[in-house]
Amino acid sequence: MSSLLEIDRLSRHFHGLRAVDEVSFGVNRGELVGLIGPNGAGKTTVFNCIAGTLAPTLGELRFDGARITGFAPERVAALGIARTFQNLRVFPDITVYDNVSVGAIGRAGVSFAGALLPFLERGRTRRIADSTSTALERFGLAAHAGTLAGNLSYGQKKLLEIARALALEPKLLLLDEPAAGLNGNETEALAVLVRDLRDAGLTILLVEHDMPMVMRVCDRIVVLDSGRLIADGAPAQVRADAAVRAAYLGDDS
Amino acid sequence: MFDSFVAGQLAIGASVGLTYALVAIGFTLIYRVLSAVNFAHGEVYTLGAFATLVAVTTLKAPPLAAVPLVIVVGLAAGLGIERVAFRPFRRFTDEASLKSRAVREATLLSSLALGIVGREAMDQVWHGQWLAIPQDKMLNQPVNLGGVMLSAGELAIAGLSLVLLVGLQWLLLRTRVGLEIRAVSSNLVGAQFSGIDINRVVLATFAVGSILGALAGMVVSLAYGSIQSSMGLTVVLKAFVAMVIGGLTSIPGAVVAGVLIGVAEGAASLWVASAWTEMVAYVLLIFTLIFFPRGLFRRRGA
Amino acid sequence: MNRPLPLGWLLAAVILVVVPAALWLFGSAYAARLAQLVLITALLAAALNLLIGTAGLLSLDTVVYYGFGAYLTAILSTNYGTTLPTEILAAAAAGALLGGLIGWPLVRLASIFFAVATMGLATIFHTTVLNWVDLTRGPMGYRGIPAFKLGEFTIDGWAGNYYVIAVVVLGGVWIVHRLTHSYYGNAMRAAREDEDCARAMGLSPHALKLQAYAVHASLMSVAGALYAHANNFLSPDNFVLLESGLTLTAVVVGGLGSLPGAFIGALVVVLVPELLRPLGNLRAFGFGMILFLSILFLPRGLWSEVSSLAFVRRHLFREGWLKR
Ligand SMILES: Nc1ncnc2c1ncn2[C@@H]1O[C@H](COP(=O)(O)OP(=O)(O)OP(=O)(O)O)[C@@H](O)[C@H]1O
Ligand SMILES: [Mg+2]
Repeated sequence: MSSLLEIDRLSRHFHGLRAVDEVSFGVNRGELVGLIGPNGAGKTTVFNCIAGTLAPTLGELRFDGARITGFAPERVAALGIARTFQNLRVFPDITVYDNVSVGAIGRAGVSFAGALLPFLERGRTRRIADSTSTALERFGLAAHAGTLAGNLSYGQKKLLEIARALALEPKLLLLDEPAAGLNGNETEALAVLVRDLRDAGLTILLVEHDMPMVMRVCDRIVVLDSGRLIADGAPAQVRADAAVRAAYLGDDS
Repeated sequence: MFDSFVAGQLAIGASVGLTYALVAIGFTLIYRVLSAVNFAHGEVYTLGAFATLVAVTTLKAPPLAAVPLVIVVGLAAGLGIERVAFRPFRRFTDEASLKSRAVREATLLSSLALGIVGREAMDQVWHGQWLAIPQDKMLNQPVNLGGVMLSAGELAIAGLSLVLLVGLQWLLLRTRVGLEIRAVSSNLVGAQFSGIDINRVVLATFAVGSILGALAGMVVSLAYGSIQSSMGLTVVLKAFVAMVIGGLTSIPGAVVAGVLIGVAEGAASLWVASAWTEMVAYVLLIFTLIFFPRGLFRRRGA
Repeated sequence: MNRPLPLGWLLAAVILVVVPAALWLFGSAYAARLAQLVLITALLAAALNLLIGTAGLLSLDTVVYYGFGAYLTAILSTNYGTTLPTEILAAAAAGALLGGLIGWPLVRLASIFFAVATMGLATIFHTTVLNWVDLTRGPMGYRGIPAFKLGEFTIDGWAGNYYVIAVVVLGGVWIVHRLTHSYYGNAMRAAREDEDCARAMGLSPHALKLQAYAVHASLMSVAGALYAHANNFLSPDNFVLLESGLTLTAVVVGGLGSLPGAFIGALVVVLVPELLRPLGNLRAFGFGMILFLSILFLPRGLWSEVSSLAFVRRHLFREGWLKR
């Protein structure tokens, strides 16, 4: 199996705080990897470095064999990495349809000339419409296509974010705590959905605090604590790991 | 070599700049509390000038006896603006809706509109004419400061500015109201939890800022003698520029930027025709923003 | 593929048939002038709507590009006897170029900083027009701008003027319509709502905002070109900050992000002050009042983005244009 994403001694410091400290791991093609760790472990910071929202202080990122360290977010997205945000970032004042279409637009691109003279870009327009509708239907949002995103329920907004990311037709999907704030049924449905995406061949890196879900869906789990990588292995292996238990117990007490 | 003419121009510039600063402080205070801009602030300045005129002509008071009237007028105008252009948009008092983009833009536009209405109303009343403060009431006695000739009015502007700035620092740092204003501006939610009445603080902010604005209008009219209904507009725009160059939320930043603009205008008047000096503040603004997109003195975390 | 735009056709019919017919039957030279002014204001409002409503950039620099196009046209037609197509193209191209140059550093600024910077631009422009007497004839104003010319043919009379303006304005509004009611418009809205998130979706907010800014500048410059001929006379007083406020009012009254709203807003801000005229010079007072009342009581405008979008989309969906 070849690595789609390789993280090589990635560090990110904030005013002397080592939020991420020499973390290395890889994500193989088609794999669903969980990234877990107590609050403040540095998971979101790793995501931000991959997605280009933050520049790494040190270290290197490779995607599909090419270096992407320090690339701007839009460039990373264009290469095929889509993400969701820990704190909801739907576009509240535009419709659900338009929200999802933004992902598709990011993939297909739009141009000024194409907007003025639609016949120039009929193919592109159709592609955007297709991936938008597909993503909407897959997440059961088609019925809400015309609603303003701000008016959706919390759970629907979470789904909307994933749908929007998927409309980008990414090679790698970064999910930051998709189950946070969802109830039991919604979490269950989400777990099935994430697993389906993985079975359909998508590579996923999942940050999640819901341990049962992570243990159940992930192929492999990477554990961070205080910015350092403390474990990397199969779910059962990680569950039994002494360092991991210590990190979580230390956090809880 | 000491050129007293150049020094004089710069000193006059600095005193004009201080009036921008006084007006800018009102802006900045309100911005810190509400993250909103009060575009009607210039009309408070104009009202301060008119109140002075009424005091010295109709009431035949000596110039400095106008102060209480000007304070009352400024206070009333500030509270009125808050009530009419800001309060209606503050239906909820949580941070998200108080400082949401929609509310910020709505209050920006409503205060802009109120400013236009107020200005035009004054224009109707005074027919857009330049009105003059009688010579004998003006602060125009020449003063020789080490070879630099200034008028008493210009010195009064500087003096009053310094007094008010010190007073404001005292108010913000030493009084309960000031403490509450600072608490609300740095952490709205926390302030609410500790039982601070947001509406009261907002009113206090408008009151303080508007009194400063009206007093600025008073000294300027006493120093230069002429008053017109649109006089607030130019000053408010420059004050706004000062606030932005100063970083939006920093009072010292706004003061420094205000003086900087005044001095730059004074310096420019040495080189170019006076008509062009109107541009100086804006050219300064645009260059500042190109190099410092968030102003010069942005407070941490603001 | 037939794109259903009943509203668009209705609008075109009103502007090209109903209004001229009414003017011809009942109108006066004065009414025709007002109609022209409404159309020009509508183009300004549509352009500003693209910038504020769609791209989310609250701007007060209308007079800069409007005035730029107007003076450019005045100078070209007076000195070089240019004809209409040349002038429109020149105004559009020069406006876009100027907008692109100025917009490059400006559109990066966060909302309030951007608003203040555009306000500064308006004042810089006014000062320049007032004082660069050799070019603009300064405070006396630019007099005797010739009428529209098409080839050898000089257009005079209100009907000719009206139709030239109507066609150009409809063209400009059509451009804004295309830009906003397309996926391109969605991209701009995303950049408006959440810049970081839009970038994570692969969009470049700076490029999108810059394009919106340049297009708005170009359209306003064209509106200025029309105004120069329609009015025959330009004065620096036409291009003070307050006039930016007028366009802003039209946008707010009509509804942010809505094109029918641009026409409605233009109608309100041109006609209501005219109705107040018997009471004295209350024009600025009038539109200040309109702005204030509409913000207070019509926070979404008379025809807001959402309702107009929903309207268009309903039709697009019904015709299966967006689905397929
Ligand atoms: N922009 C920033 N500036 C300063 N410090 C930051 C910044 N972003 C994150 N940090 C710090 O870095 C550390 C790691 O934060 P991060 O958000 O990556 O944690 P996390 O693992 O995602 O936690 P959680 O499970 O709570 O989401 C924390 O101590 C946080 O305070
Ligand atoms: Mg996190």
